[in-house]
Amino acid sequence: MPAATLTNIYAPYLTTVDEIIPEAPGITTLKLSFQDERVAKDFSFKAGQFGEYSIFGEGECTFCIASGATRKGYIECSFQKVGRVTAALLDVNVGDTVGFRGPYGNHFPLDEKIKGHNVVFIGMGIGLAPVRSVIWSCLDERAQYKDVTIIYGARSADLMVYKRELAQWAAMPDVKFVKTVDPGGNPPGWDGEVGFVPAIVEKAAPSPEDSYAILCGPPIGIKFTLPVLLKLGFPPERIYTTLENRMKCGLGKCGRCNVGGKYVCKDGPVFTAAELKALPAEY
Amino acid sequence: MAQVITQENLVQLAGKLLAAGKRVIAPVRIDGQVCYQALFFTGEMLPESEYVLPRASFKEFFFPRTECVLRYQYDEKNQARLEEPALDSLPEQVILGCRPCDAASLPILDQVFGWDYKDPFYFKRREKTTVVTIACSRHDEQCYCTSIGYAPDHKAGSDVLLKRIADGSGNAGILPAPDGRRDAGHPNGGQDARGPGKNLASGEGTDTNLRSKLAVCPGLSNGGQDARGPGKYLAEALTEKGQALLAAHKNLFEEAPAAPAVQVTKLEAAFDVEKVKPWLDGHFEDAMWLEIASKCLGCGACAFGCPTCHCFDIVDEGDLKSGRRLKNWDTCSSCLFTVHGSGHNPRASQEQRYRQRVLHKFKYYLEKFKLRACTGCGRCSVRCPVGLDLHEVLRTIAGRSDGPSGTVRN
Amino acid sequence: MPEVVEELRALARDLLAKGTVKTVIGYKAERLANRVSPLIITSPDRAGELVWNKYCLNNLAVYLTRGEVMRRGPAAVVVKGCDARAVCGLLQEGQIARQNVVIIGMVCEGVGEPLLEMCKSCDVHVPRLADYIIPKEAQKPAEAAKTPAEADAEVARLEALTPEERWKFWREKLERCIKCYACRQACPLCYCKRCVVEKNQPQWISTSAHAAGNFAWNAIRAMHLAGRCGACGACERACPQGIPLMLLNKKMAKEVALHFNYRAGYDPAATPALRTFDARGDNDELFR
Repeated sequence: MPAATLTNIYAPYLTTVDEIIPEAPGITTLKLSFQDERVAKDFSFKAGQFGEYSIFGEGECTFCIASGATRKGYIECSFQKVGRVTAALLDVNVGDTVGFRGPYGNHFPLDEKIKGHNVVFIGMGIGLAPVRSVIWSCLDERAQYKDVTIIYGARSADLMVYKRELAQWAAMPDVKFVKTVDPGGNPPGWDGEVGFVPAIVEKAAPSPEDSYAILCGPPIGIKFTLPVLLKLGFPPERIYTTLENRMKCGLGKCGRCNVGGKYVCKDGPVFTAAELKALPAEY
Repeated sequence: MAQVITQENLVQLAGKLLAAGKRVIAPVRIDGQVCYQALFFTGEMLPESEYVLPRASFKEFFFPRTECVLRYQYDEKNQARLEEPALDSLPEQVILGCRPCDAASLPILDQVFGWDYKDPFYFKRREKTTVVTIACSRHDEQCYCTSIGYAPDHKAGSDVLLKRIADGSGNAGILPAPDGRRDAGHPNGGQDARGPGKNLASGEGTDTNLRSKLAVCPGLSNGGQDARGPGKYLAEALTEKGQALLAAHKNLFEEAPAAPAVQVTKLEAAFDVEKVKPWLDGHFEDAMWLEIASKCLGCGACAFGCPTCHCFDIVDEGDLKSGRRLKNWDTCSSCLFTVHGSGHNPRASQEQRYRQRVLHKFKYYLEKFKLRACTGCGRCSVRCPVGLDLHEVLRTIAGRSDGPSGTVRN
Repeated sequence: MPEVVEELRALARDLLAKGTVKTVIGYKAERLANRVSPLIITSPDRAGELVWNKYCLNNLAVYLTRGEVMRRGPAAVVVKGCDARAVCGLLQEGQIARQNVVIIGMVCEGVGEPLLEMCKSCDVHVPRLADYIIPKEAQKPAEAAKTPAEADAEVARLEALTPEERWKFWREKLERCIKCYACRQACPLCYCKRCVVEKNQPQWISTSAHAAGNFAWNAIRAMHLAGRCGACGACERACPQGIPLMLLNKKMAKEVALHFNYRAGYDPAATPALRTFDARGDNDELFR
């Protein structure tokens, strides 16, 4: 949303639910199109940004924009049920209204830094959602990047998200795709790796030469994957992740989401490992 | 050009503004406590000599406790329609008689509410409000504006500054000591004079309030101790809005005699606030936080009275047919303030939450906006049910040499 | 008074030094004269900071349900008679184990400057539940002198108002509420990890500081405290907006005394009146 004088910054765009895609038990993706034609035409965002999605009467909820920034006219969000608003969002029908405020926050610096280099994407569980946005932004302009590696893991095969797209990425000749499940999570006929993501990253050993890494997952997953990347030689300034924190306004005023002196909604949610290291452990 | 207005004319000014349909906000006494309130009639206005500082800031007139930011309605096809509040119909406001530590909060709040996205609710009210400040002729032991870089006659945020003209009636400076001032701010204005005939509706007859915690309390009456009576004020317009106010009511003002002496209290800085941030920069982890904040109850008494605290919550209230989205005051002291949907809480203990409060005001806000989120009014310390004294905390921090972390006791 | 303070300090020092308790919760002097605030110490060396005087207003029992304090081990808490009623309530409701708390009861002739109104009708000058009474030689009274709630003149005046007048009175007072929850946070018996107002599926009580939200909050809190409140007054003193909360709580206590012949906080072995239902006996009479 443009920062115009005295527009109601708390009023969302109205979107319509176009499609409901169940991703995994308890995890759903909603495809939303803007009701206002002008907004539908003009809306744009950058991969990594997030928004406040709402069901009127229930409240607002923070998710990244999970669709590629190169895709126009619609946005997607993926979430699992954790509380009142996500429960209401799970309950929508195609054609219902969902409010959307955004895009907020900073973004993965694709244009500024990553284009022209190698990039390694690492996702864990539902943490693939923000990474998926930047993966599609990248794959839609594939020629502008050098080597592309995608490593994705979940607890089990049925808990993986974007299953159709995982197959698409696996089939792309110019993408190195590795999927893994935790030990015990592999169904019969499983053709991927078996092992926790940090171990699989170590095994895949992507080269740090001229490379950027983008990773997202639960805090514990990041905690164990980060050292692997550092050990492989990725400098912390070239490892990007995205933080989550409790949010309300999403635009720097309500004072809720700061980690030390950084507001996750303004200075983030995208941070490098170097920036994270400088922050106090309150996230 | 300096002008003079009498207390009586100040009340007349309130009357004229009310008659013109403006909202006039001034200190009044309700149930023995002095608070900023929209006047119903001018007789409610308290003369400056009768209080030090109202119990809460005036921020609710710029940033209400609860405010509707939009209304929604679902039609018969289950499509939602939104309606936004008409900000242009907000009334013009005049704050007639706030203290400099309150007015100074406005340039501070302007920063966060204007950071990239301008909050229209706040700025529309800002635009529609004229602020008349009355300099402090007395202070009490909880005041520390000068330690933060403000002053009893500071101009920040003000459109018109009034200063009491010295009339030789004395009693300027600090309020007399607590002992022997049993009437100092007692809810009943004097000895506990409740008796069977008291009107319950006035709220007398209760042990309510801050009085029990502190013998000297801002916002409460000094009873009969201040013999000064109504005064005259030197009026200085500081902005165009201020000039316009004075010009519109010039018949209530007189020309000032050359350089009249004014009664502005003297308050020495208690600590060097420049030393606070360097300590905070290096002591995110420190045993001191547990020591100070272990008694913090995690309520919102401090934050909600504070002129610069601005954290808020956004909630929907209504049903599946219609309702509204509200912006409500919130406090980082609350245990659920940062809790994630997963149940994980980045600030799970009270001392982590208290640390956030101090760091936000004296480090993060300063780094982002070049201003501290504090004006030294002292209300937080007065309102705190367990006497957590921010003034004392800051003094301790400023006084600490950079030794090993450990005991706090100086 | 100074000997009493020394007796208290010596006891605290001893309890900590011997490891009988890991924490002592008491009062300390503040920077400003006549102001005292809670002190939580874990070392016997700090016992000298404890004070006891007429400014010791806080009800320290509120810290007995804090995980951060209690996970260290047993705690000693300095209480006045009214505070001890809250400790009694916590024991009755299983929030603390008797062996985990050492109750240091201070003989109290009233606190506050001026003397709090509620102290004038106190019947627990010597705390009724305590492991130690300071000064040692004070005698426990034989039985309750009178029934404060029933004799309360303020409650009587409230009752003398017509329903319309009462509605107007409370509407005016509660309009000031800012939902800071200082009342709840200061109250030892408001120990719920997630308060009813913090539940949002559904949102039973509005969190907003408007008329309906304020009324709902204060009414539900009074209801949840009925038959449990020990009348320490901490809520009313904590309220930054000057709302006469104790009027509500005292009225509820009066009703509970009248209908259930029960007064909270006197007997740790008693079953709280509104916490139990016994289908036997005459209880079905209540529903006629």
